[in-house]
Amino acid sequence: MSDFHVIIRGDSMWPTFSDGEKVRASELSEDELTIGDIVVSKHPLKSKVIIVKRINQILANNQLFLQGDNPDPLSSEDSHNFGPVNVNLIIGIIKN
Amino acid sequence: MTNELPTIEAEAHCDGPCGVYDPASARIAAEAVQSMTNKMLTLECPDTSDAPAMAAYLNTMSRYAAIKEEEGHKCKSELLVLWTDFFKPVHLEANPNLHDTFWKAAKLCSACKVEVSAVHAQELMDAIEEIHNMFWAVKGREVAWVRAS
Repeated sequence: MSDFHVIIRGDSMWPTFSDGEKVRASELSEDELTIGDIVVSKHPLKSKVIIVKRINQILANNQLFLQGDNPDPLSSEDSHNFGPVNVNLIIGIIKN
Repeated sequence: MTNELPTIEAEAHCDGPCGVYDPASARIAAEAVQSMTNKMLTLECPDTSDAPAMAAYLNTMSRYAAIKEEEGHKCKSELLVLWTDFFKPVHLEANPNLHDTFWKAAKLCSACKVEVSAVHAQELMDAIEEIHNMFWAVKGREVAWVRAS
């Protein structure tokens, strides 16, 4: 399992991560996702966009409900907007 | 060693069009309020026995009042969008007086609608200039405060 760096762009993960912060992530390994993990994922509706969100729910059929940490209801484009994300879109996990 | 790891960027953005907010829309409405207020205060009342002159006077004054009311409402709406949609909890760290500034600015919009007050119209412009400065500081850009009038 190899690691990589992620530069956060935006405030949807505030206060956990701030805009511009650089964090370390690990590539996903099988069966390691749990509720509360912060994941790096492909955007389900924009193939060229990579997003970072927290797993809020693990649903049936390998679907994840992702959401930002920012408490402001307008602060995060996440599963509230684009719906659940299939686990095969997850690129990695950020280790706090 | 960790700096040699590959690096990607991940978006953590809001759900709205956060790139297109601009306090200029509130400023333009507030300038219209101030302009109408000043026009109302300086419009001279004609001889009340001169019916055509009085009709023109009342028509003009009514239009000034209607525009002031409309622009005051528009200004408040624009401020509320900035306050509740653009600004986020994270921005309170750098702008601890953000809520108070917006609350007072919104109240001044109402005051300018209720009254014909040059003082409150100027205070509204001053409040929006303060919001302009907070907004562009959050965006990390230096944008000069300008007036259209």
